[in-house]
Amino acid sequence: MASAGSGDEKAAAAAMITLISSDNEKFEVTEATATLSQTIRHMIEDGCTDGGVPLPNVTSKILARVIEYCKKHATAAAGEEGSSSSFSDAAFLEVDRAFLEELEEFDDAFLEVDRATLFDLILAANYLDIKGLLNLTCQKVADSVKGKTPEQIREMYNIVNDLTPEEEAEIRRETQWAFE
Amino acid sequence: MDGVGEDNLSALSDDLLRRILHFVPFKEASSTSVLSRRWRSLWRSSGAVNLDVRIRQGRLGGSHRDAFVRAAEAALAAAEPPVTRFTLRVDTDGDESVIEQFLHSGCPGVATALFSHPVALCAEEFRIAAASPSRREVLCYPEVPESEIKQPVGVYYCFGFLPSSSKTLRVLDITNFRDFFTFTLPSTPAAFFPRLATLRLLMCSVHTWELQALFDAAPELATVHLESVFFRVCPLVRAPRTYYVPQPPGMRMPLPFPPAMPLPPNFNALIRLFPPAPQLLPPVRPLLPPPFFHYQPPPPPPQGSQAARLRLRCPAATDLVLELCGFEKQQSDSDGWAMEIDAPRLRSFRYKGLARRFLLTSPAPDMARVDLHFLHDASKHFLRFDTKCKDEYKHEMQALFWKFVRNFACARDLKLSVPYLKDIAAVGKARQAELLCAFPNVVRLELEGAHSLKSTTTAVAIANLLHCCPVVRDLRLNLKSVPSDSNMYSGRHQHQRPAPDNSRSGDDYSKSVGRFMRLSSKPATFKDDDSGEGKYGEVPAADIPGLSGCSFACLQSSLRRVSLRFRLDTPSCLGVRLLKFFADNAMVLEEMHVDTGNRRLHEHMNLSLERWIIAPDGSSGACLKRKNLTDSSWEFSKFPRLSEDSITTDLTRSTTGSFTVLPLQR
Repeated sequence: MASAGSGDEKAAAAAMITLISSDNEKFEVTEATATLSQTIRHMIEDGCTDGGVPLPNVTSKILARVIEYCKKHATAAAGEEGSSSSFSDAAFLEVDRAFLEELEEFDDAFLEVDRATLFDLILAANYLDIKGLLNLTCQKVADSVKGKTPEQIREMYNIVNDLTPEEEAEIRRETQWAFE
Repeated sequence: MDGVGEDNLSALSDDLLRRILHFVPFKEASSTSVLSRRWRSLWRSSGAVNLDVRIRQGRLGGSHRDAFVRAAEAALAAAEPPVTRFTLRVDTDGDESVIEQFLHSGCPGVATALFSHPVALCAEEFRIAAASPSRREVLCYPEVPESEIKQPVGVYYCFGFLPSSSKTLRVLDITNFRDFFTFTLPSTPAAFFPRLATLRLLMCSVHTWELQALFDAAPELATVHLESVFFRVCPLVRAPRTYYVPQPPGMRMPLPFPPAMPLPPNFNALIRLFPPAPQLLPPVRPLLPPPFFHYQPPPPPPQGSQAARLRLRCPAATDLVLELCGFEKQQSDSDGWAMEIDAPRLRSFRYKGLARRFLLTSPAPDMARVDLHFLHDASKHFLRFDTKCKDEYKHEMQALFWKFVRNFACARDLKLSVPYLKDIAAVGKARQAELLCAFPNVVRLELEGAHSLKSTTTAVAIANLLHCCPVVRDLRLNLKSVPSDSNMYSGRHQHQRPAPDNSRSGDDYSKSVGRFMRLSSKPATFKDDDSGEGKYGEVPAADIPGLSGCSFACLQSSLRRVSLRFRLDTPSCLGVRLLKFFADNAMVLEEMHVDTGNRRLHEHMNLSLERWIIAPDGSSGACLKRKNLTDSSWEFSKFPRLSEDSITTDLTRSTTGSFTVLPLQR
């Protein structure tokens, strides 16, 4: 869009980072998007991002989703920064106030994934150190065990019970209040 | 992550499982201890205790309550420090009295027992919420117009359940409680909450001086979000002294409190007037700081007809939200109350409520965002039709609006939402000189309000604001449709919500569809040459009284983007004329975004756009350069008299002299 701040956009375009997934797919992202990840932020600060950042723990499928999240939230972060320090008009104009609501909707839609993907997202968010995404995904798992009995949780998540019946009985006695 | 694609929680590290347990309600969290050997003690170190309880109407026995308190205390005792998050969420399928009974009765009461627990007192995040279906209904029921809180809200009435000082507290989030600070805050403004950064109150009642004491005691309190908060003023006792309540024996005195003062001679009488809830005093935990009275002199009585005034000083607040708040009126007959906010570091401010007298003492020199949403005062609606009071009412409304907004003269991003745009129009030089003020920093202006078809003063309101904002770059206008005033009063719903959201209104949608169907039934409508044949392609009247012929600094040099949202009623409706006005007069315009109703039906708008902007007699200031029907964008040139060749050869002119029209992205 021919918006007011094409100069800033160009400046941002200059600072592109290449992320390389475990299956060798390359993703070009802006520095603002990439630095939502503390891990990558540190790499940028250390100046070791030339030639791309290999992420051997993250598949291209998951990385694409993570980047989708970061792109959305980087815009929001730009707005936040804009409001607290001197800001460029371009960044300023791009921020919409309805954006926060939109962001919530985005997050809700973003979490509509199967469990395997959700766990992969948790692992990727943890590895890349993206706090917002980590909290979001962990909260989603937490919500899924609400109101469930231990048996239901075990079944849901294929947890193998390696406690002896005696041990289990003992724990139940210890935390009897939890089972009332 | 190869090999982790299984549907398996166990693939996650202990740290990640703890992070998940951080958000799990306490009973489920602790019951995970029997999942497997690995899970046995994970929950204890999750760093959070989330007490969730749902009270069923029929099960409000003491045993139920006691069982909950026992379980909660056991969970708090089992949690390994540091516990950063403490939440209590009380839910019920009954009404609020059930919650009140649950929290209030017993000895000690549930709330007292839990909130004074050392773990709760050391938490960084302290969130409590009480909700019942009836309350949710009020909060979510779409037909109920938004209005300010008129009476005390909050289910749980209790003296002093919050910690009176906390070195760790960072986030305080309270929903549907009342009078929770009473008697807990120290009289000297010292940093008793050195880390408190976020305060959020929703559906709460507080005494203003208590809130003030909290602000004074929290030097880092940057985010203050008060929604549907009812401010109470009536002081408990009129004696500016500080003294302790007699303590139960065996109580350990914590240190950072002022020394006890001698009790005033009339102390017994005072205590009789305001007895502390008896069940709350006796068995207090040793760590609980002693509650002590802090009496504030009452605010000076209102002089003459002066309305009540709410004063708040938020020395550290950068982000302040005041939505639908109410104030305990000092005079029953006073017509509204005034607000005085002192927030020298304010960067972002949001207000939703009636236009009232408002004073921002010591405004920050550069305020980023200001969002003012003025509600329609339904109780004064009749004045609009009263021939005697009509003008007086209008003048008063104008004055209230302009005096309110002039507090934010240094804002950069200004959003104004008013019930009726014409109500803010200052007509005539004298009136303009009296009311208007400059917003020298506003680069983004958003204006939203209802506009009735017959009214010509809406354009004056827009002109007023354009005059006030000489450097605005991005202008957003949202003209909402209302029937003319006389019809409006008959419909209760419309009368109370004069500004229905275009995007949600089914009525708009059906009208839009209808219009679209009519258009598409014409065989030639999709050919641009004939798009002007339909009713909506007619050339609109060019002039806008109040706007045309005036010169605006922002149009000459700064306005680059215009977004217009309006409902297409007639080809000469104000929206269309504004479209043409900006196309003709904004010299550095780059983009126009237009929305005439439904997002998916913007096509009908595009069909006639060309005719709207370019007058057939060539008198218009723009001509079409290019149109792209796939993304519905239209590029116009500002130099119609030059031939196309000369535009393309003259690069500087062609880049600065053209603008694009796009459908508005929501």
